[in-house]
Amino acid sequence: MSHPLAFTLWVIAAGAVALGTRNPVYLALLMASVWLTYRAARQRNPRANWGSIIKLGVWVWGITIPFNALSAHMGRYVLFRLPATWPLVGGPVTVEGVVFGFLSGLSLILLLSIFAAFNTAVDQYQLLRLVPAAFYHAGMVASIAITFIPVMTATFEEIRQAQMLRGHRFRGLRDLLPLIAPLLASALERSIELAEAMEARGYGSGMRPISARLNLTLQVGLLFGLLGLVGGLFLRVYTRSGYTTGSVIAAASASLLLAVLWLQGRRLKRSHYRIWRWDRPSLLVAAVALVALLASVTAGRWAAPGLVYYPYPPGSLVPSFHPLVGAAILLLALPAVLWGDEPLPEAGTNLSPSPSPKRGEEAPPSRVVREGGLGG
Amino acid sequence: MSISLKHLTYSYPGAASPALRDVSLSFAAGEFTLVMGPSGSGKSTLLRCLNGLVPHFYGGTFSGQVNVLGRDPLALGPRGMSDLIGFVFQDPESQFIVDGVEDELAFSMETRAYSRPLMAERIGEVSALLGIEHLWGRRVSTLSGGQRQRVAIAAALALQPEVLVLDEPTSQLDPEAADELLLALVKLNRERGLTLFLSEHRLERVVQYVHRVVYVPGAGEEIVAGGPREVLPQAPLAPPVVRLGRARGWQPVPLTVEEARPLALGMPLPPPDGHRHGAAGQVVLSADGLTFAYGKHAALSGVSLELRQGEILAVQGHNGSGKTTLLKTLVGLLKPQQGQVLLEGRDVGKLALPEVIRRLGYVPQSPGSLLFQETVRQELEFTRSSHELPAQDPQPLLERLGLSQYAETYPRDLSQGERQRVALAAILVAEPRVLLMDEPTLGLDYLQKTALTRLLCELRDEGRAILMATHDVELVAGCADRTVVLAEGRVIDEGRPGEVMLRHESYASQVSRLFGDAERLTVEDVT
Repeated sequence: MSHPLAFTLWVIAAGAVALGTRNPVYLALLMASVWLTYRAARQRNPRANWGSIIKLGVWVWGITIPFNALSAHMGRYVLFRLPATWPLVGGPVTVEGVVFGFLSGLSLILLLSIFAAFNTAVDQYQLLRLVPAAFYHAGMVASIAITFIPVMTATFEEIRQAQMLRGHRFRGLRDLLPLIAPLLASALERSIELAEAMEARGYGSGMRPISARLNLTLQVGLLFGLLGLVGGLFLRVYTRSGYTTGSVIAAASASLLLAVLWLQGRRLKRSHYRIWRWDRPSLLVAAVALVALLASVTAGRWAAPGLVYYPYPPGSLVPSFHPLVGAAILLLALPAVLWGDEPLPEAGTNLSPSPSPKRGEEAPPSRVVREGGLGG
Repeated sequence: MSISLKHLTYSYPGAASPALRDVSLSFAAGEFTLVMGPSGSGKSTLLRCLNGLVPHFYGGTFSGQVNVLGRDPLALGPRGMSDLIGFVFQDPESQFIVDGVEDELAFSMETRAYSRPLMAERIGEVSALLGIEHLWGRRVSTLSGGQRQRVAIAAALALQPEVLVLDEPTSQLDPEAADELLLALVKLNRERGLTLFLSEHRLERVVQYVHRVVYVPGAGEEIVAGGPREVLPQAPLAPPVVRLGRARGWQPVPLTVEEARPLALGMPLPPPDGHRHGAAGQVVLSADGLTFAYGKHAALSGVSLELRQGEILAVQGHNGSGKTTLLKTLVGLLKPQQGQVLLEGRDVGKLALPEVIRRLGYVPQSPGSLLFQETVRQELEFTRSSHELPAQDPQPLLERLGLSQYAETYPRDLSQGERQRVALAAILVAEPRVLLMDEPTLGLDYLQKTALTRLLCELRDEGRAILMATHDVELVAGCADRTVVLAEGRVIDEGRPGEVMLRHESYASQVSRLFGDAERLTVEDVT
């Protein structure tokens, strides 16, 4: 996989299915696809650890089942009844309620797993490339924040164990201080070190200087664009007569904003080391993602009732199934298949390129090979 | 072309006294300069003046002039200096901006809009220099500390700077990784003519390679600079072999074990005083066939050891050899898949945590994990109350640890060595009979190490049992009674430190290597 956009499409398609259906058959197929992909991604990036987050998801799943069962009260198959005088939980507890809770929890876990697979497979830094230039700095901050999370989790675990062995017991909110204060201090120290490193490496030196007047113009443009957009939308939504005027103002302001952002983005003088190529695997993954997305969105038209599953009356507990929809969902396991044929990036030997790449108009061909092996 | 500092005085914002006072130094291009001094003396501050991080990043008041190969860091700031001076920081974890190795190498070139072929060429070049081509395609977070520091150096060299500044780059590495890194630096200096500034506590590893030494004594005292043979003999922080040469009046004072060898030949030695045959008491902590694996990765395989009352046991081994896992298993944080741990004859796995920690204290690697209170005194009181022990006047303990003047100080304002002692005090205040320590000398200078060594000996002589995981061979030489060497989760050697040092040279102290005698490990043993 060399193009991060291909995997972004994969996430959208898988997410659309996970959110769009409670049909147990489709969810199970999606689970298989996502799990295979996650497993393949983990093999390529073994240190990425989403295990604990998925565990948390399973825990939440365990809660959604009784929660839904105790609050739904609908359905034909009654398991038992709670006294009707009990607030909220009183009434029949049905098989349908349990099933629906189970499936809702499953779709939640699926969403977590999809993001886990995505994060394991694609470096956040690769995504930065997809961010428009005007938002480059904001994207940088987000990328750093995401890399920070696993480091801080490890630090927190260290602190928790050290304090525990010192006799610290967690009894209430007050006992958070011995854990939080060292964590904050260490996060702060780390941030300062990182900021220093970025400064010493010349981060931020790539802005083209512009005249003070142009800069002021851009700032004013930004301000008016934002005011116009808010005002126009307000006119459009809250006043009867201003609908057309509001629309025009909003559209004009939005264009102004885009123009300002584009101009500011142009100021950023920056080159890119990596070239993302739409090579065969990326094209395949993107195609498969589009097919799955299309199938899940249009399923209702050609394979009624589509993705809809409603266990409560008048629906049925038995899920509908259309083999083509199922096949489209299973196609999402393609990344796992593609990666299965590729050598792991950690293998090293078959990936180590010539030490001094030749000069040329295009990057030397070895680059493509390595990018192909990077897993993004 | 040269590098010069003229009448430089600098105070951090809000500081009562300047960190650097009227410093004037000059260096020729192509020199390898070692910056040494006690921790907190201003070494880092001095290095940061070279690329303008001081004062641009930190603020404060600055006077004087700095000139680096014709450029003024005061006027240009760190960004403007970034293509002339590469900077490598202490912590291998927090100086990386992006996660991919190649992206990291490309980062500063991307911000300068270099063309892609040029970037590819430079990345190939710096990777060959540091020998990291095989790491391309890896994520930084999966690398070892030594590999990370190599990537950091390569990334700093990508803009082809003429000067490379390194602020204690090896302090978090094990001895072998540190040696490899330093040799790579020597090569850069000798073969590429790169001007190097390096601050370092492990002087014994670099003194033979450097052209100049800058000694920053701190506390407002004047900075001394000159050739290693001029500066080192006077500096109180000198490595053991230099201290030995000084004590014996050898001229010229030897800088390395090899230089000292002919001088030591036939040197009259005092009779061994036998202090390494301390009579240890009964077994207080024992491990029997401990096996532990993280997933499929075996961290410990069949480790057995015994810790007796009144002894110091060192656990040595490279990073990743299983030392920390062993400590965590001993205190019951990790449950071994096989084997058991007995604390005073009782199975740790079956004891409740309060029962364990009443007998056993654990000092973590980074004191920052423990310290959170407003004052040192409160830290001690917190431990007492967590253990449900009656309040006690902390002053005698603080006095013993040399901290009495800091009782009302904010712990994080203290130096690394002092913080380490506060963490130790916060554990000792609960009066554990067994003490476990993880890398107690990390980031400490020679003087602080000597003080800690003496303290540990005292604690042992009071009848405590101490187990320390460390790669610091001088610490082991100074106080350990026995040592266990771990590799790949197995015990590969154990015995008295002097004997183990004869068998494994990478774990031998300088004096042990010089005399090859199981009874002579420290300067004190031979003078």
